[in-house]
Amino acid sequence: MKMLKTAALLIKKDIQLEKNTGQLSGSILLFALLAGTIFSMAFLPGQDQLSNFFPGIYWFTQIFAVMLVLNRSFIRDTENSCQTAILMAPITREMLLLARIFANYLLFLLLTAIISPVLFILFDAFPVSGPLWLLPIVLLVNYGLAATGSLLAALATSTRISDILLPVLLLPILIPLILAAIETTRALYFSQLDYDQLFFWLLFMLIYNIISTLISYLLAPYLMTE
Amino acid sequence: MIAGKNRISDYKISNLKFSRDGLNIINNISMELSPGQITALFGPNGSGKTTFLKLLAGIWTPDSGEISWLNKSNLKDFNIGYIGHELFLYKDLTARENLEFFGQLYNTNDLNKKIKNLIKEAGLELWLNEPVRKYSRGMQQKLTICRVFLNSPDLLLLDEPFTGLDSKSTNFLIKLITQNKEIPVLFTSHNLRQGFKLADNWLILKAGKIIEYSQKQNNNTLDTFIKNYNKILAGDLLDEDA
Repeated sequence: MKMLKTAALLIKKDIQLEKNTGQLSGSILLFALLAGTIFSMAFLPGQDQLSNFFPGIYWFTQIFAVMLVLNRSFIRDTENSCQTAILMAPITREMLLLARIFANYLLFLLLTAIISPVLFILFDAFPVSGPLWLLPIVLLVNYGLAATGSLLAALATSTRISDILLPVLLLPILIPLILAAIETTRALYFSQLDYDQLFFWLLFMLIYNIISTLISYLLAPYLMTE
Repeated sequence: MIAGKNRISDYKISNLKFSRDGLNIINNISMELSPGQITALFGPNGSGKTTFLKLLAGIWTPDSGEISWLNKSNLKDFNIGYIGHELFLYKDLTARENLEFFGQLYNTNDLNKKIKNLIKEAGLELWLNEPVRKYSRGMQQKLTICRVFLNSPDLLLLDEPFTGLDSKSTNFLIKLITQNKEIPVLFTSHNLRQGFKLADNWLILKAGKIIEYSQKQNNNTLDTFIKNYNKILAGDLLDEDA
């Protein structure tokens, strides 16, 4: 309960910051539009091969947007040492990192809700078989991004080169999740849905997410520092 | 009443040690803080004052030693009010949003009432809904003081709290400290006169060690204290105020 309350407070604070500055939402929407436009022009001749390239474009656009958001949200907390005041609150650092993961998770779901329609319309690429399966995929991938991303952002922001370090650390660790995200999404673009493949990768993402959460929990006292 | 419900009657620090990059910054410090006692910590730059306060606040973890309150050693059981060199405020949030966020994070009761009272005392009513980035430095410091007292602290740790404050803001902080006399206070200062006047106990820290401890009841005068301070720190650069 304490974790959920803290997560709700962090979300509320991020929304207020966003409302007062408008820094992230505008740039993320612009980024999604630009990335989608550039990718759609670059891959136009291969429109018949949509199932092969669209899942990759879809998830990479999201991952790059996530990295923009992650870095910014952690840097906002380190400005004026606000992170220190948060660390002193009567909540353990483990719970604080879990709250941050949960807050980022909801933020990333919102990002998906903004980016997905843009990309689907620009590529004319709505999933043909079992479009509802996109929901568990989106939920699992975004959780994995939030768990791994929050952990590594906490690590990166304690250095002076966080904006460079975060993608360098994050992308290699995300490779299994990216692979699973692309494979599951690709399955939705074939006329016949391969349930075996779909379930295998969903289970794979679930295990990835559990491991990321456990590692975050164990490392939180060492990473959630001033 | 701003003070928290947990009263620290026996705040003990035993054999605290802390080193960084092979350098011993805090060397085996033991001391006690009690309610109703204001303790000033003096010492030259680099003597370990800020590090010591950060260890007590739970921001950093000591290499060894113990900080405990009535046998509880989990600092999360204490509500520690800490003012450091930074403001701990979101510049893009308004004063009200900042105070609400930190108040809710620290489970503050009667939050709106406390915000209203503190903001009124600080003279910031007209600025309550303005982003903190529009504030002057002094106003931001006042708001930081409000944030600390809002959370009903059990212990106050203030790192050079008067630096950069004008006389009005200084009086505001002193008023809040004296109004909440039951909260133990430990503050660092380079201003010997001001620190001597405000505190009941005085500590002098040098190279991470407490080398002098004196109390008001020992009939110390400011002149003898300054003389003693200069003698103890002979060879170090002294503050102009001294």
